[in-house]
Amino acid sequence: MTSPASSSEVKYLIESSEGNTFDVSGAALRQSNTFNAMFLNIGADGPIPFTDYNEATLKKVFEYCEHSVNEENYSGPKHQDDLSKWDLNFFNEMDQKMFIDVINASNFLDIERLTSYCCERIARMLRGKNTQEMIKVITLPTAEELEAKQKVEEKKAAAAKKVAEKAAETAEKTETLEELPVQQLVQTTRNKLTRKYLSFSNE
Amino acid sequence: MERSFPLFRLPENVIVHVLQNMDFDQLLTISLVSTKSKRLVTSLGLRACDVFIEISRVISLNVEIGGSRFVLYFYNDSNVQNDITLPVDAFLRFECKRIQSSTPFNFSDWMNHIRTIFFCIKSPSVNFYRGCERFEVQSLKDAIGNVNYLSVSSKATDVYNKEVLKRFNAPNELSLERNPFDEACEIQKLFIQSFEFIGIDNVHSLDDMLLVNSEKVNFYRPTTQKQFNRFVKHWIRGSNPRLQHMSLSIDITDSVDREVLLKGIECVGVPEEEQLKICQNNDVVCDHLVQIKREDGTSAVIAVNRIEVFLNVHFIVLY
Repeated sequence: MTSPASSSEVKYLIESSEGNTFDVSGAALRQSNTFNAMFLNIGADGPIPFTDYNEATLKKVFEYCEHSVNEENYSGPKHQDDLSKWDLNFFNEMDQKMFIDVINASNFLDIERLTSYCCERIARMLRGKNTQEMIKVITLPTAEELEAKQKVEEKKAAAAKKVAEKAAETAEKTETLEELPVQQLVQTTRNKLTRKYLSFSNE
Repeated sequence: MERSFPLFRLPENVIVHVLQNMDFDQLLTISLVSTKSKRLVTSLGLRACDVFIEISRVISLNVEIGGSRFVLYFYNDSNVQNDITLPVDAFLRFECKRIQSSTPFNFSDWMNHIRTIFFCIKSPSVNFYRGCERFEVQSLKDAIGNVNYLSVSSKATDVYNKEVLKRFNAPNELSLERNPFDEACEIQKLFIQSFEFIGIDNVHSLDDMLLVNSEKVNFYRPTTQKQFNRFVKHWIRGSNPRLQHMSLSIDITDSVDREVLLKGIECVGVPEEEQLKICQNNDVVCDHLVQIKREDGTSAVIAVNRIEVFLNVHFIVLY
């Protein structure tokens, strides 16, 4: 059921990337500036397609929105130390993949409060790290690693090329020999040996 | 959550949001990770309002951004060579935490990096202290570039100080803790330059005072009432046309008569309310203030404050 939201009782249907639909309250959805800009005033016929995000991610995002419906108006980022037990549990129970999906979805839906908390959480994770540690944490390969990786790849490519050439050569030989009748095969081998003998004698 | 986190795979506006939650030390550290991180930190548009560099046995780089300050130390490791063109690590002041760039940085590279990410448009202030001789002056000049304020140490050798004055030759403001020159004419060459400010801790003659071509001048060594009196008379007749504010002290140990200071000078008192305003505007404290007028009509005030056997005198021109 979808209709222009004027009351928090109104429910909206949300469609995920799997094509599944589920209900979200108007009050929760209104925390999304993207929703407000796109659907709040005109309403939506049928489910609202947020099909870039899977059901689990969207449910997680709207779980947060439903929870924070009754909180006071958002007034800038809150320090992680000031987060409630519920907030902390909400973040702690997510694995990294889910956390990244939630940030991306929250960013797309433009839910300021959730995006801010996520970003502050990442900044906090990087606090106290030196450059090398930061490189490791944010999974950026160092210049040396890149160079080493490139060398390994070049070696691998060269080796693969050699193997492929050899395989092609072998296949060609096998194919040629297989195609010849027995008598002709004997003749070919004899010719080859004669040529070899002649080349030795010439030398 | 796992120990690694693919920050740079997030949308750029999210990365910027993460960076906005970082303090300056963290921002500097992450800006050294890659060209992308440097670009993103730069995109935050942080502007350093002041940069000052202190050079002793160690070089400290102080950067002030919007009321906050962070300090980096260089060469505090005694094993590091004195050649500032060689790569060097930076250390954070309070945590003594080493900050390394992903590619080796020398002091000049550090300066350029910080200038870029924190938009340091204003030239830095540079103070030389005891132990600064460790560093070659020309290399310092090459790394630091033009300076806004230059303070030359009284603890460094005259040869070194002369080299500093020669290389860092065009500051807006200059403070000399000691005159490194043998000839009076050498220091007078500095007096006739048009600095915004010049301060000198050296015995100065009336000629020196009359040669001053800076807007503000501070003589740290005491003068006499008679010399100041003669200076004021010259000013009334038109000398030191650029002067706006002169601060000096007068030793009155041997002089009971304070009237010598203004002897023969036509002056009028200033209403208390106006006195207060002048003192506030010029950040001075005084117990006596009089107004004088130059022949061309320009007014000035002489504010005097007695502290034990010294008179602190401020000569302020009112434009």
